[in-house]
Amino acid sequence: MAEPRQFAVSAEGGRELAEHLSALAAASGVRCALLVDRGGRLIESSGSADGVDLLAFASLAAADFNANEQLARLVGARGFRALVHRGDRSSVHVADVGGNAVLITLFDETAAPGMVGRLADEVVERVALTLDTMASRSASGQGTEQSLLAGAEEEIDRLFDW
Amino acid sequence: MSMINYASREINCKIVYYGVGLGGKTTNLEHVYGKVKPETRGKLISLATENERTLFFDFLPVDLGTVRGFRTRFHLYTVPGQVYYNASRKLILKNVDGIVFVGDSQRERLEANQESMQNLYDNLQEYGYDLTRMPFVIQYNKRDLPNALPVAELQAALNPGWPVLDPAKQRVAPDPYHAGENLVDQSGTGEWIERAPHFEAVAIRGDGVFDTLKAVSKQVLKALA
Repeated sequence: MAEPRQFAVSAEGGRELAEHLSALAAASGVRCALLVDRGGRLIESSGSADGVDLLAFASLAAADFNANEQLARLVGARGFRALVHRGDRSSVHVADVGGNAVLITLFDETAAPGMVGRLADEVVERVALTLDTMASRSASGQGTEQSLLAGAEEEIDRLFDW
Repeated sequence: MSMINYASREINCKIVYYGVGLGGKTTNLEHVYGKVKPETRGKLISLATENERTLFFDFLPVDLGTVRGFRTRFHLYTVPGQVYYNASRKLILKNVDGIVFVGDSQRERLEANQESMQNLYDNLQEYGYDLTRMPFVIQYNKRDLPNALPVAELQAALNPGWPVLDPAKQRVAPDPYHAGENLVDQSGTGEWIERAPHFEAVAIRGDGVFDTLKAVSKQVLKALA
């Protein structure tokens, strides 16, 4: 059987991340900010994302960033720190967070990409610190996270009783 | 790497369907999409060429219910099977929690299946993952075709097993999906061998699709338990 490999977002860490993201989402012209792991999983979001399928958006944005990182390597660069996709009414800024996640900012035509980039840079540093702390806790097995599903075999079995 | 989010009370896991081109990976996801209740799944995203070959990946999020009060959300991905899309394939394996290898049962695809299996092993290794130590099931698809190889031949070629070195695990483990067969067993030479669970399927009819998904999802969650 496989070795357990997991990353736990603690309740406290989740609150911290939400605070970091809300600072970005509150900026003028920004619709929402998302934090997504490099595997495409949504970790946290803030702001109004009405009409946006966040799961699909997170998956595509992470894949897009990963693909661009490989493109960068093909031309001899280590990677791109951030990507901007500009549209007529909506634009997207995607920034690397320590190689493990991406911070995505969805903004409209009233926000300047440069301003969004500067704000995102500030948030990236804070988010990276929070993620590092949580990753250390997950790796060392601190807290209660590692035992969440311990002894839950029967409950897991029942989940698949269909 | 599964993600347990205590803030949103969710467990998020990533499962990748791997295998040769035109083997039925996308068909698996399409069947799941068509059969599960709309409220338990998201959009099926397909990044495909104009002739519907997977170019980058397909993606389908599915909720399987709650465990310990946490919503279990599985992100199902396929990879492009064609050999020259290896860079894309490798990217999709990032942070994977479980693998379904979709084998094409047709006799003339055996070599391609073996190359794809080796490619899976190699790509995982580049991320530091060991296929023999992670949730992994094999699906033999297209069982309805007249040129389908017997399962025993496919098993010998694609699922011969790996040595069990840990003495604590050197004991017979019955295959819960095939009566009279074992997942861990001793070979004729005395060596302990473990094989991945396997399933027969005709994905285009839906046969075997949910059995496969259930088996790998269960393995992923039990790996966390």
